[in-house]
Amino acid sequence: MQNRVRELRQSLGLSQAALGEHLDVSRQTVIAIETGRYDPSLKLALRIARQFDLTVEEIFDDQQ
Amino acid sequence: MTNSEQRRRGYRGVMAVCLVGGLAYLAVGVVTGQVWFGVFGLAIMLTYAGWLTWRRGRTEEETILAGEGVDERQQAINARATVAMGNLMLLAVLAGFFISLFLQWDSGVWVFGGLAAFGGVSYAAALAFYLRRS
Repeated sequence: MQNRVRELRQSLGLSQAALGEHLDVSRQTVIAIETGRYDPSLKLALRIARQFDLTVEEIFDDQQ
Repeated sequence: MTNSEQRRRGYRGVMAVCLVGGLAYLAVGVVTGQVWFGVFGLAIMLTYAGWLTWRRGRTEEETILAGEGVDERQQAINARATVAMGNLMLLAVLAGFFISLFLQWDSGVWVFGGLAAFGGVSYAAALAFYLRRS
């Protein structure tokens, strides 16, 4: 699934490790989400959306 | 429970398994008069625990082996690795069973047959448990 996590993280000036700390996941999990290798659970997707103050649909795109 | 609490709990659990396993080796060695076997088993388990303590957090593999891989992706990977291990164990047990049958090795037939039956019953019980829970 395509997502905008990397773009949004970089716009906030956060490192992958820092975002991982905010989301309570490992840096490797942030990398896996950003590269589309791992689709987060609904719970984690909501945490990501709250982190960036957006909706899940504005970050994740299942059409591609 | 937060992930850092889960991480601490997971690490302590793995260390406890290593210690209990090592002590079990030692107890079996002492009881059967093979003290060196017991001491060697305990040393291996303690060395493994020490290695995990030293290496945890350096790579994801070692983090998960040390019981600290608690985020959802690491848990999913751990679950898939456990399923893969279960499948391979089942294959090994079935191979042992049929080889024992072929060689007419009665003890092997009972041991491997018993393990295969236990595996089948465990799977059915786990299936029923998780179906009721979700």
